Amino acid sequence: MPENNNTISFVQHHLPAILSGDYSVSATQTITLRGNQEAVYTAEQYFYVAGKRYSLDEADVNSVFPPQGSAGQFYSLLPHIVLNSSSLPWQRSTGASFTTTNENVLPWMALLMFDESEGINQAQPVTIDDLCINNNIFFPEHTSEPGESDSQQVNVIDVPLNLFLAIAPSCNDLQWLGHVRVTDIACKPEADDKIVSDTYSVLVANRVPQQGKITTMHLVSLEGYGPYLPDYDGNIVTPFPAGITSVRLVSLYSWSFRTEEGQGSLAGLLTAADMNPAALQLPFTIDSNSSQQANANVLQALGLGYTALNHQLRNGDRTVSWYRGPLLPLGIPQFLQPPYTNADSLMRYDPGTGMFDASYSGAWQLGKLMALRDSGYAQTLVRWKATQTRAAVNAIEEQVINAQLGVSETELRAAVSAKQVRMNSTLRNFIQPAVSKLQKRSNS
Amino acid sequence: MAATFSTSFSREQLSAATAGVQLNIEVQEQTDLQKIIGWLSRLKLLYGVPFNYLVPDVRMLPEESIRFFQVDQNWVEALIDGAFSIGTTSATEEFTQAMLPQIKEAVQNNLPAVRAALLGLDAETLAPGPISGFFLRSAAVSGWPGLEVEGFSNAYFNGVGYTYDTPLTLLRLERISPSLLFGLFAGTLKAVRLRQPAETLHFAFDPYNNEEYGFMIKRARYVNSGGGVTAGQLRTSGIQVIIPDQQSSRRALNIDALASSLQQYVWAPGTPAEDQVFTSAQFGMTMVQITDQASFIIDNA
Repeated sequence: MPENNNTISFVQHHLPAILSGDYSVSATQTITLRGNQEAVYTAEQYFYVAGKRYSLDEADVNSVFPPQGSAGQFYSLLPHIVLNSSSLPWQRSTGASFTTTNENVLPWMALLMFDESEGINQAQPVTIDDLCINNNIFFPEHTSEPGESDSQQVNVIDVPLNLFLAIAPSCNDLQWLGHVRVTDIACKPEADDKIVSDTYSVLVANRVPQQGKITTMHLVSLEGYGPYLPDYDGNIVTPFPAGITSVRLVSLYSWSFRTEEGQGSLAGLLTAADMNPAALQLPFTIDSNSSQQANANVLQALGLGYTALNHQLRNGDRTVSWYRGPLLPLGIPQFLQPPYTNADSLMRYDPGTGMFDASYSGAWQLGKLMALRDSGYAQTLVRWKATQTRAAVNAIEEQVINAQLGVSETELRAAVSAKQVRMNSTLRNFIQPAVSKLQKRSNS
Repeated sequence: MAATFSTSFSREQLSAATAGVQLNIEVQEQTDLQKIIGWLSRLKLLYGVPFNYLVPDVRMLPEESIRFFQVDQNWVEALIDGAFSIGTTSATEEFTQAMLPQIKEAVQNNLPAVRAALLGLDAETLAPGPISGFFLRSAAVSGWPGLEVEGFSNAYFNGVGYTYDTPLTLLRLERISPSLLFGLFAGTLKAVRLRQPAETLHFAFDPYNNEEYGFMIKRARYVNSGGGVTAGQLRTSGIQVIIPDQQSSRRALNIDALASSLQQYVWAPGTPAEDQVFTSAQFGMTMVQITDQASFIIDNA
């Protein structure tokens, strides 16, 4: 297959300015007067950087692969999750002391994969208070943050220690399992009332799915787990406390899929999409009870995009009318000559079939209803029409007055204000002649 | 002398006067007129039109199907006429009628701005013309919400594959339900090309053969350009990746070892050693598989 020609940029990570959690700022001022220390003032201010910790919302997740509930030949790939926030995987810390020369930073989340045979399916809800309640189940040290309550529900999975040591990524693995992608949005669907994002973070699993099995994925929090992550041979730096048989992980998001024959891939789904007919129209089935002519009429009408719908007439009669929406199987020229004053004037009668065509009448009525339902638009339109009409009327009044006063066009164009011009022309055309008439009269 | 002032004027005078009024449509602030043009632009792109008006019978759109259509401008004219009819009184009627052609022209010019504003991109300019589009009802829409779409006004077989001509401007592309994608283009649509969203490209290996799962092949992808190769290009040969105990249990990869192996193969020939910094970004780029795109061409027959 040809390679895509649009661009995508891979970015190592998007680090937040500061990590989520509690912070304090303190300031100290020492007052020294003539060499003597007079007083020391200190102030301390606490603040908290809010961030996701125990669960994600649907809105945080852009997509997962393989998709939830899908089936396909997935055994040769690494599943992943795409998050809408580009910095979310780096907003907390695993607590591991990990540095590399290439400046990779460990994400605080990992995508763990479980087979159906491993017994880790649905996450179980527990309260925050119950996260570390059992001596056999390990949960790392954690301090509560503002806004959390002990009774808040958290979804967890309890993974047997041996399994965890076998499949958990090491810190060295984890550094490669998250990155950021910056994409080209010109060809993407719109989002509802918000700017479409072009930047996403991606977290990748470290296992391949098993053929013929159901696989469950859990995006887990590794906050505090850094010191307990095993190396590739299953050894850990910090031993777990004695008696631990399983580890408890917070499941932030989970889904499952099946690895078997199926159209799980995008190309598979798209290639299988039905395109017969290619045009948007109702499929035609011959009605053996009707005449050949009637069948031919229906076939033609469906080919033109029509659907027969029940129609209640104004006098209470019921009939069947043709309707077609704006989306037609074929292009037709524009012939309507608006404006129309009401919907009925757009009702058309087809003498061939004896049926009404309610399409354009319905469209006109819908346009009016949509306008009335949106009070903001309706008020704006009414106000604008009234204002503009009033302005036009005023303009004509001005013209009439100007004509009567004998104001010339040239004067109007050069004028500072219409009032001034009118005053001048009144003086010129009325007052001056009157005055000169008076003078003549007094002279005579 | 007798000066008489008459302020009465006929409806014909009003009609004649308004016919000469040029609306100031270039005004940038949100005036009433701008709001009206914006609202009618969205209406012309059928935003807010109930689904059963668009597709009166769901049998027109079976599951796992793609369907093409052309927008009937008569229907849209009637819709806009209805929406513009409110607030029309006998006093405002002449004015309204005189202004309608200018409003419609402004709406037509504003069409590309609707989607551009939603994406935060600059709007293209557009010559007036037909609008056409497609519906895709498929699990591909729910599984790949960022599915990328291109439309073309021409497609022909060039002997090897298809050549696509003249990309069309997307006026609207929206998932109107989780599995239903609705697209409108300026122009007459002949072919659409659907592409896997770049953010969903996955990490994959090439199976060595279908019988044996013991190891797989990974062909590295160059991460920079130079020395006759371009960034993103695949190498011709791959490295072996050991998939541990595929048949039994573990199947966890030594990702760190994989990254160490791959980083020897990703640099374009002649890349200076100090520039060869291999991070999770380079690892991501060399690991992704780019495969999935599909085209649909409307048969003229």
